[in-house]
Amino acid sequence: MTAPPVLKVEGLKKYFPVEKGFLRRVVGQVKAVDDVSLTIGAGETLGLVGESGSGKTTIGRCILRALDPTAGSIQFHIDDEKTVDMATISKREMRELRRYANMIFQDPYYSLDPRWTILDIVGEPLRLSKLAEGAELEDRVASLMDVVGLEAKHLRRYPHAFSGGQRQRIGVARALATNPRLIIADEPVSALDVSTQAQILNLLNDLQSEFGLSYLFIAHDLSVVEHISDRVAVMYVGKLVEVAPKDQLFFFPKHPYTEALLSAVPTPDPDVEKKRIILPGEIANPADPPSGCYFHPRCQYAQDRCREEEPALREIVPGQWASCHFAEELELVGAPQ
Amino acid sequence: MQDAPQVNQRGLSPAEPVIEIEDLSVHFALDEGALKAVDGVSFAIEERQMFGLIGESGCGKTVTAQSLMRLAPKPGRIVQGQINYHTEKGGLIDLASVDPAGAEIRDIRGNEIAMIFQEPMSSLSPIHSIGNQLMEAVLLHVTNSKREAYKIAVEMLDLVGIPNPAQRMEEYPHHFSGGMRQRVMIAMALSCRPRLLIADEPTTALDVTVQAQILDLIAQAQAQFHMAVLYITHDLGIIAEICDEVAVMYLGRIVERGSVHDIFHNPLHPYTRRLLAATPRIGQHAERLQVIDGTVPIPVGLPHACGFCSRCPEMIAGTCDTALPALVELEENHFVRCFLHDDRKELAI
Repeated sequence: MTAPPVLKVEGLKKYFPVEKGFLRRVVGQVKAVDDVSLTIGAGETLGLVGESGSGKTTIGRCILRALDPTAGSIQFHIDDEKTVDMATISKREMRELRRYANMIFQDPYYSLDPRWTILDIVGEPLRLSKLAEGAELEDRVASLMDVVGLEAKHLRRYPHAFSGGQRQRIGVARALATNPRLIIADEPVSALDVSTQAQILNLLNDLQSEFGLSYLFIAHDLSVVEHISDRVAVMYVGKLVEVAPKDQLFFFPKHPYTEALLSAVPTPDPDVEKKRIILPGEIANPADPPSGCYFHPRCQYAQDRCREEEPALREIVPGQWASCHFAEELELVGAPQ
Repeated sequence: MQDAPQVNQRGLSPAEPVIEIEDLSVHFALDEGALKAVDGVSFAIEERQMFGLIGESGCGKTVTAQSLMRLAPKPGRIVQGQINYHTEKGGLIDLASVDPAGAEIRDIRGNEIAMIFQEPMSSLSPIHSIGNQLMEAVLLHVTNSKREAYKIAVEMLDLVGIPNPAQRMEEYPHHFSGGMRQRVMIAMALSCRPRLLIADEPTTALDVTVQAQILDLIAQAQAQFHMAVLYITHDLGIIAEICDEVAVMYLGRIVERGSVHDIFHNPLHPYTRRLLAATPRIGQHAERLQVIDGTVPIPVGLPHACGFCSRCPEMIAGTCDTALPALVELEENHFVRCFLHDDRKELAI
């Protein structure tokens, strides 16, 4: 029997009401996240990819209760005795659980308060969870600085004294401060240059093996996701369209949207000949999604059934789930090997 | 008050350069000293060529592009070098020496040389309709007739793949998605049939499927209008897919220049090699990525030496940190600035 998953999300929904007029009448719902289920094992990295507006950030925010989900359950396995449903617990209980799950943000410039020293920033989660204070807190922050590769003597400096990559290290140190089990990393490297990006990705990898962390790694850059993930989930207009171990997903995709995404990733090799699939039109509007399969207006394989019937996410081959009526029949092309 | 442009009458055959940049330096005078954003950059772009300029943030690639249009922000100043532009009529004009607000550059800017930027929202005016903004450039450079300008604008919107172009002419930028706005920017840039298109990270803010659409559109437009394109990006994948020639910039200088094949399959400069190794590739299965230690220094008051030496594991102490290597043609059309390959120095001025 393997260890139970750290996180088990089932049927997660987050709808935002569309209001209109002076009386703020609700005229519709934006289904930002619509019936999403996923699991993250201990020490596992689940990559979550999708285009802007597909709802991947909303999932991350719902899991940490920065947003209250509309429906669904979020089972968080804290230790062998305790599993809680983070979707239904109160704000007060959530505050106590914050130490077990933390977040790393995209922009290392806006996510750090310019008027706080590094000691304040990295020490804040420790203070809030009442895990340490005073000299003990300072020691702990100094050792965290060491863990993420910064010099402990810079504790009393302000964020502006650090470069983008160093700031992201500070963000990582803050997320690690309370010894969490799960870290939700929302586009943690997309604002960084290639050389700095490689440093942060290596750091995240090292920390995972050292502390047995689980990551939900949200990103739009598929090469980065392929590098860091064990399994990958692909979102389109609020729904998961494919979930699979990364090699399966990247080389043997089962959903036409995954195929199109992969074909669009530029390959850093001028001799690789490949056919870019240019998707017609734009990503569907989650307030007014198309009938049937949300992807059908842009799908080159779409048939009548796709216009009428919404496909369910089902297991096509062991471990690989896709929501396409024709997942078994289509011979889709993966990334160039 | 007008500088007489250096005119050199000659017909252009297909492989003639459109623009030749020679030893261009752009410095920003700061209190701490001169910030050398661009420091002795030379390259040429031929007709119908897709020339890639790659580098990390702060390497000077955007200031180089802005200088070609004489749009470098203050207090940036061209302190030396030439930007020899071959005009449509066959003349030669040094854009580095013209008045940045003068008639000559205004005649070329947006007309013969057009530019598209990274952030399409901040490059469009929120209070003018798309149609008005598109027609402005056309009325300035192509025609005096509003009716004709309208026709050209609608044609251009159609060409860049915007559905219902006549209707969208009346709309404002906030009605458009990011990808659509970038299409409008491209329509605007193409509306005067430029000979050189400068694309400064035009897809960085866009999703990967939209990026594929825009790259496709730029390639189509290049084929249709026989434009030369200067494509600026930090994404090695895009360079590999669309460019013919590539220059790698680091700290205001070109450290390596050559065909896209040479840069990707026979990189010679340690920076180019490490940049390639630091880029994650699908199917690579590497546990760890190679990193470049340290960060890019700020180009103020640096010694006259190789800019990469402080981060280079192959640095030769006493050589790399005391003199600046010259950009040397090691193989045909493959230039490298590194003492590991050639000991020629570039003297301080």
